[in-house]
Amino acid sequence: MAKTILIVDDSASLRQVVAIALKGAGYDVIEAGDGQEALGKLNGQKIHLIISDVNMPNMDGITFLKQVKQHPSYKFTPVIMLTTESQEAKKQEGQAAGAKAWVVKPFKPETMLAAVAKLILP
Amino acid sequence: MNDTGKREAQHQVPGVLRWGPLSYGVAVAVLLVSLGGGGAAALTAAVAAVGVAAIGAWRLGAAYRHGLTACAAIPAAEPAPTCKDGDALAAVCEEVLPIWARQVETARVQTEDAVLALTARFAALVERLDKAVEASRAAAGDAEGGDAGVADLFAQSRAELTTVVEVLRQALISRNTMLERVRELAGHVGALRRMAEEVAKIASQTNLLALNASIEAARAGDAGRGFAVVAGEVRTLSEQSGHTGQHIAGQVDAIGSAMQAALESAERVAAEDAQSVQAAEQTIGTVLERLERLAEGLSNSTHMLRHESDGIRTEIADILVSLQFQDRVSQILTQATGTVTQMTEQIRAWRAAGHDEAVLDREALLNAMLHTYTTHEQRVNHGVAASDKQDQDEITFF
Repeated sequence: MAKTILIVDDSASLRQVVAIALKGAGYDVIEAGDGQEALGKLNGQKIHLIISDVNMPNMDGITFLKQVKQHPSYKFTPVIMLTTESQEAKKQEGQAAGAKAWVVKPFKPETMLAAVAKLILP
Repeated sequence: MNDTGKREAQHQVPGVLRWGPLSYGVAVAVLLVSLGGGGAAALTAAVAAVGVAAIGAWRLGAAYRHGLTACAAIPAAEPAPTCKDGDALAAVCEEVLPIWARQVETARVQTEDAVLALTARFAALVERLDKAVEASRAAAGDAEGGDAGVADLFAQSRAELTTVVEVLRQALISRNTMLERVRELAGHVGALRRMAEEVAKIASQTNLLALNASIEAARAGDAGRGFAVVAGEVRTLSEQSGHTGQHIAGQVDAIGSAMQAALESAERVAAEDAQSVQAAEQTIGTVLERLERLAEGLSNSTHMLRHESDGIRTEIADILVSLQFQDRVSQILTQATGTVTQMTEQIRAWRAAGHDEAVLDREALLNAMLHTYTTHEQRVNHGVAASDKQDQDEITFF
């Protein structure tokens, strides 16, 4: 059975780009436009990995990440931050909040897939 | 021309020249995105046009800074523009800047929509490509866990047809065995005929013996009369035995002839069957060979299709990497729009406060800009980061 990945990004085109890469590798994909919407997707279904943008309206990626790490069902779900931010301070903020990896856009699909394969839950 | 002259010349530049590049840039961007049909070239041109717009904004920004400063403390040595000039410029900014912000936002949204449409079409292409390859692989029997394809069907057919040929060959062997039995039976017919001849011979000898006995009985006179009766009966029996022997020989001959005819017919049919089995075997072999070539051709086509598909997938992946520029462009434009809006609010507040210099907090505005940057380029443009570093495909594991 295919594993499920939640993509959180306010850019619909970027979500599409990530989704194409993941679906091509055999993963199922769920999409959300911001952190708030993404929290609504954590409704008990099995999610093997989360890929989240940092700068988003309504709820930013770091706040969403903190919420995920407090969620009883998803606190062990690995989270990859996918963002245009490359400042060290931001990365450290993501690491402190519980992110497993920090990928800077634009990314190459194979780079993303390698990170996903390394971190995704069995 | 000295500095004062330059400044005066700048103030004398007609408004349309000062603001023209922005209006022109945004208009061209919108037009290109609208007419470009979502093409990457159109998007690139649109971004370039927005860049021209930004140059216009920068020129106006310079005028804005100079104009507003005119109402603040100005060194007496410089005959700067009057406060009245600054207010007029601020009034223009108050009206123009929100329009620019909306124009830039419109260009951003349209570019985003166009890129979204492009990526959706690429996604559909990839999906259709995958389906075509999967269908081809299934047809060639190459599918992972899928239905049996040509290769499986071919292997199964060959096994079944080989079984059919083997069954025919076994039937032929059985028939030859039966023929051998019939030949043995024909041999027994000869023995039966010899036995019938023996019976006839014995009957003839018995008849001769009975005849001698009758003669001897006649010589004995009355004493041999009873014996003559017995000899006569023996003679009658020997004649009957002779007839039976001849009848048996006749029947054996008839059976023998019929058996020989059946044997010849069976041998002829067996020879024909052997030829038929051989011909069937050759035909099946030829058909299987053709099918095998067909299956091989199909399999080669599938491999080629898969290879080409992988190549196209790689190309599309590269295109998708390029399309990610939209996300960065969008963030840069959103931040610029936010700054323009914030600047407009400051000008509005400055005018409402009777040109109070304290309301115009340039440092606060610059700091706010620094805190809303999300890309390295923005910081480079602001002058707070080195331009030698590129944000690209960087991954950090924690």
